[in-house]
Amino acid sequence: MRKTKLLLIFIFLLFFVAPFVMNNAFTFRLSGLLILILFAASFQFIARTAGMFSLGHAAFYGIGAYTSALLIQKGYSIFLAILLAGVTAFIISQIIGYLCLKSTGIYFAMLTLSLAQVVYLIIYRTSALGGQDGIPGILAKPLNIFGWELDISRPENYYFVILFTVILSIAILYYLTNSSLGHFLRSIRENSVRTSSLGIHVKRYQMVAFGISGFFGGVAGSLLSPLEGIITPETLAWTQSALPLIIVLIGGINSFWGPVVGAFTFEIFHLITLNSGAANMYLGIILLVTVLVFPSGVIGVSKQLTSLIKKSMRSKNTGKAEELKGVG
Amino acid sequence: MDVVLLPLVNGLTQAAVLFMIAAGLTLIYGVLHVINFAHGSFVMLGSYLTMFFFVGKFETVTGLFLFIFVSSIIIALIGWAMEVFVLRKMYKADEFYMVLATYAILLMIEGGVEKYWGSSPLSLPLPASLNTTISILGISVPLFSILICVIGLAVMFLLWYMMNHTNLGKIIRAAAADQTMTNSLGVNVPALFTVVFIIGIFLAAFAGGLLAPTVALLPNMGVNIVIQAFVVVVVGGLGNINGALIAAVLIGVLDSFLGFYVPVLTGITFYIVMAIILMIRPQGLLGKA
Repeated sequence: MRKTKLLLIFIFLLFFVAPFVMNNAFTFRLSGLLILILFAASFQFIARTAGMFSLGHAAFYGIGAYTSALLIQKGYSIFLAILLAGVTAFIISQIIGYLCLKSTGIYFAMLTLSLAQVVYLIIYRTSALGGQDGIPGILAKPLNIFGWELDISRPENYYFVILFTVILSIAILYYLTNSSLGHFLRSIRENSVRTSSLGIHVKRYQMVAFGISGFFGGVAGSLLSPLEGIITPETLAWTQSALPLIIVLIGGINSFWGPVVGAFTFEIFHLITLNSGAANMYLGIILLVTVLVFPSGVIGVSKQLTSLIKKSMRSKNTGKAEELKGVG
Repeated sequence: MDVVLLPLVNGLTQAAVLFMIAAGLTLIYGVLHVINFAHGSFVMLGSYLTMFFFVGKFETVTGLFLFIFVSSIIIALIGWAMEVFVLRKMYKADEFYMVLATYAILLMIEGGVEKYWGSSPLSLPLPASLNTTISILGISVPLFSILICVIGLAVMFLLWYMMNHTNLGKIIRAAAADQTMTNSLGVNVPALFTVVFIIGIFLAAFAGGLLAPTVALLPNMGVNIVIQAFVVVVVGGLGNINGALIAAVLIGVLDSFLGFYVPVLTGITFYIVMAIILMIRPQGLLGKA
């Protein structure tokens, strides 16, 4: 356990010093990666902990992005915009959750997908939100930290806002996953009938889980608009809902750190295939190979590998010991 | 009269195409228990392949229908490969992995089409003799729309006949009800899965070919189609062909009428109808509870 903590601190330090050592284009990419990690982590909270496969997660992401875009344009400070974006996404998640939680399994997945599509079409057709063209020119106001001003309209400075928000959010999600709420949700996932017979209000807990997931999905989206400077309805397209699913799968669905590893791997593949003219085709091939050959994702495979190496090392050592015995 | 007839014909045309797509989707779900996200990509591929054979080479009425048919057969063969090399390895896995596998195939087909045909919209012009209108009750209605409705009816009849009056249909219904039992009665269930999948994909590609002259061809068109088809399938009750028919007509016509009078609602009606129906009947119109 101490090793994991040291590793986490080391990774955090790497993220922290990255913008000082690398160029601005790299920092911009890293910002996008951090947002993707939070987006996937917020999805994983309902998918893995609560066992609810929502296929409409982009709705919360997009609502968060639009809320922060509007608030920032009105001159609100960045952290207030992020918080309110999360709250807006939470409210919408409660409406969608109320409508969808009557059904389970694949019906639940299809309902979330459809309602997310409704949100997408509404935003797409609202001219006050820029319609198809979206909202351009989103510039964050300078951040005032105890009298010291930081110009966060520059991506290399805004990076720290993202880093802070994402790490705080992941910490909260980690805490919630391992709290009694997380345990209740896991027992609901395993057997909702038995759990409800224990006197636990299943639907209430599912609504709470859906809300938490929606909130952090919204937070992830809210970080996106000041980074890109423009927000379009494409942020809510349903292919966008598949993104966290893919990332979590590539990373490893059964591990809390799946989204982090998955986002990294996904981003590397994305960079490699970017200029091929058919990035989707390669993404599809990678995804198919993952599903067919490595269903436990990168983390699962690396765990298998390390245990294999350990085993072979052990057998080597015992082999030597036997040799020595033989000599003696 | 035209304010009623035109949206009605449009709605029925939309319903006919939707039914063909949704019937395959629901058949595949009913028997194989696969949510085939790639279904819309096969529709899209049907449109592109028909366009590829037809445009600039055989631009006649016979050519159009011949190549819709030929394309559908080629695409059904691709579906065959997909069932054998991908789906068959996953029937025991979690539904979630199946969704991802079919989604991966969607991405591969979409990316492949984009690489080969590019991402700008293409079109398939109707042969002149089909590109006319006929007069019904004094209102001119596009001939091709009527033709799609007629073909939709024919497909519906063929499916109904196959499911109710042929051995294959009986076996399919038996397998949908109880796989283990059907297997122990001596039916080769894995082979049946392949046959059902091929029929489903053929229907999707055929619908795509019929759709081609009426829309702009884009690599990502399959994505929207598959969601609409899912809505129809879920509203009708997963795995139920009759339900898919009722839902396709209901949703197609409602969407067309609302879109005609309140244009901003076009496409949204789909989801609103779905949400309302599922709140009243979570298992869909004809689905089992």
